[in-house]
Amino acid sequence: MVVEGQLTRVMSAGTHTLSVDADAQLMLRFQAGEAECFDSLVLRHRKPLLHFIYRMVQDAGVAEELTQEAFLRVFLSRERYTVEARFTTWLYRIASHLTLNHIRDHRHERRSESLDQSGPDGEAPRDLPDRQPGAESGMLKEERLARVRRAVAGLPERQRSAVLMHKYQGMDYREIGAALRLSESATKSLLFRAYETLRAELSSLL
Amino acid sequence: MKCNTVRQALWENVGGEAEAQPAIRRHVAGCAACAEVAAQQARLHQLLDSWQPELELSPEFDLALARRIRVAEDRGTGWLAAARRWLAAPVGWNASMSLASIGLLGMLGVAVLMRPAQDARPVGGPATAQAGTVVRDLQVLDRDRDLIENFDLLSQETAPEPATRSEENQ
Repeated sequence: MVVEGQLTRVMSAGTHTLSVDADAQLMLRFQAGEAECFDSLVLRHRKPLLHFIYRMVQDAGVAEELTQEAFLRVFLSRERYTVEARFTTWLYRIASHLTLNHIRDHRHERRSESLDQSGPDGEAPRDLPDRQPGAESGMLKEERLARVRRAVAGLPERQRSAVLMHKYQGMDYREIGAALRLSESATKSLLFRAYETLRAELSSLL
Repeated sequence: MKCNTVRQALWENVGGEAEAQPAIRRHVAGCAACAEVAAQQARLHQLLDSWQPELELSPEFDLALARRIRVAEDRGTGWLAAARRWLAAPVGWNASMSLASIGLLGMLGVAVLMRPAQDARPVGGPATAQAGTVVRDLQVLDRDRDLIENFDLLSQETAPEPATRSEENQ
């Protein structure tokens, strides 16, 4: 049983130096009853997962809720876990499933929100500021990033999910395909279409 | 090599490794359109790289997750969840099946025992049951008529009593 204190404990292994197999081993140890292994998995993956989900939904509050939900599903599914793929593939499959369901369930709300936007660039009001290195970050860069966000948000959900896994999570075609339940060739095709769409949408910035 | 094939191959290798492949490199070198696409792809990746959300986990993240887990576990500690877990346990599968069979048989037995009481009908089926209802109604009417007649007789017999009582009161 996980108690609140355990999740906040910083473990020495909680860095990205662990190998991929170590995640699966942590999961198996957690399955065997070592609750602290779940804490390690949360510590290792919570931030990248949060960023993935945030880029999908572009809402910080929702992203955090869905991140927690994804880890809750991992916790509750521990008895059924089998090492068939990398742990991250399984984790991102859960996260993609939750996120895509959320987007579908709230599609109408987002449409009505976008109609209410008062900004000239149509930027989502709940967007967070993005990290801008250097002193020259200003309106122009913010506008460019807003366009990137809108272009990504405009992709169909599965294409968006595939691009984000590929571009920001460093997942390869096989892993993305496993997460989205697609063949490798279908994943390549999906990514190709997504990147071509982005290139067309953002051509004036390229 | 077709342009579309080259462009797909270019996308497959974000770091430009595909361009190192001789066939791809030769095509890009000789095709201005594909060379422009390759350059745009590289710039697009740079543009996408610049999107790094300044997003940190809230301080309540761990607490909220722990709370969710506790709620989910509490929800799963009822007798129904316990029964489900027990039935799902691989070790107890045979025992579970045996007990489930016994339970099913027990329920069937109860159902069989209760059936005559629920379906109790006079011999002859529904038509007889309807006739029986009418007969019962007639019997009730007869009994009521007898009661009314007897009541009248009783009234007649007891009629002088009030006078007697008044005399006694006096």
